[in-house]
Amino acid sequence: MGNICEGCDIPVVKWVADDGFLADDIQVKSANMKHSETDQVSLKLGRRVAERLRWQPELVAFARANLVRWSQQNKSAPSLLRCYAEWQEILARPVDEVRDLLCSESDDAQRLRQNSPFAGVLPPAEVWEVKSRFHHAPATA
Amino acid sequence: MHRQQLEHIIRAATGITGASEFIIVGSQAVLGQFPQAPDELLVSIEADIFSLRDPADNDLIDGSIGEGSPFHQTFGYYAHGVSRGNGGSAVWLARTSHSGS
Repeated sequence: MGNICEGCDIPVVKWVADDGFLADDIQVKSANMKHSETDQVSLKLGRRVAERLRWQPELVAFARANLVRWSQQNKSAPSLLRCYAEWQEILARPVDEVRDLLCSESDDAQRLRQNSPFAGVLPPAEVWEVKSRFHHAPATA
Repeated sequence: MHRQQLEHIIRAATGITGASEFIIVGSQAVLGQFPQAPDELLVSIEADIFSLRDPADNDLIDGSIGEGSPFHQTFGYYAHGVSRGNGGSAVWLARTSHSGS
């Protein structure tokens, strides 16, 4: 990609090191959380969305509109379109099935929740509160 | 996601945190070495990144452009703030700079 930032203040991204250079030095864990806690955040957010869907099934249309817009914006990225298409199919199911998926602890449900089209259903302050609770929870063995 | 979306996330993280170096980890790190990596390796709308400057940056990234954020709703992809700790993973370093710097 060329420098699209000439004459403006948008930073340019330079890729400067490979994994061989860093692998011995850098190890990671998710946002100060255990890996399972990362999944728990998604599950907690999913359950809150599912609760709202019980009383506001029209939120399925909201999610569908997100997917339509995202698909337009990212039409040059087939891998993203694949994620969106999978959820388009899911949203065609009865709303109770969608709610069940948002609350399920199966591996497949966890994978799908990470690509959730329900972004924007929960207010940012509520999302932040859920994440903060997990980020700052005492570590357990 | 593709490299275009990942670079957007990195630029956004720069704007939010002021940091200029980020480590990309997990499946999307392959985009550092292979910008045209096969789609099969990139089927995710999230990228795991962290700043080398301050561990607190990672909570900021997760809260501001993470799952369920307005950034996620607007663009259809998001960052997952991660930090140094346990468990190795594929990594790549991205450095941002402003034009002329």
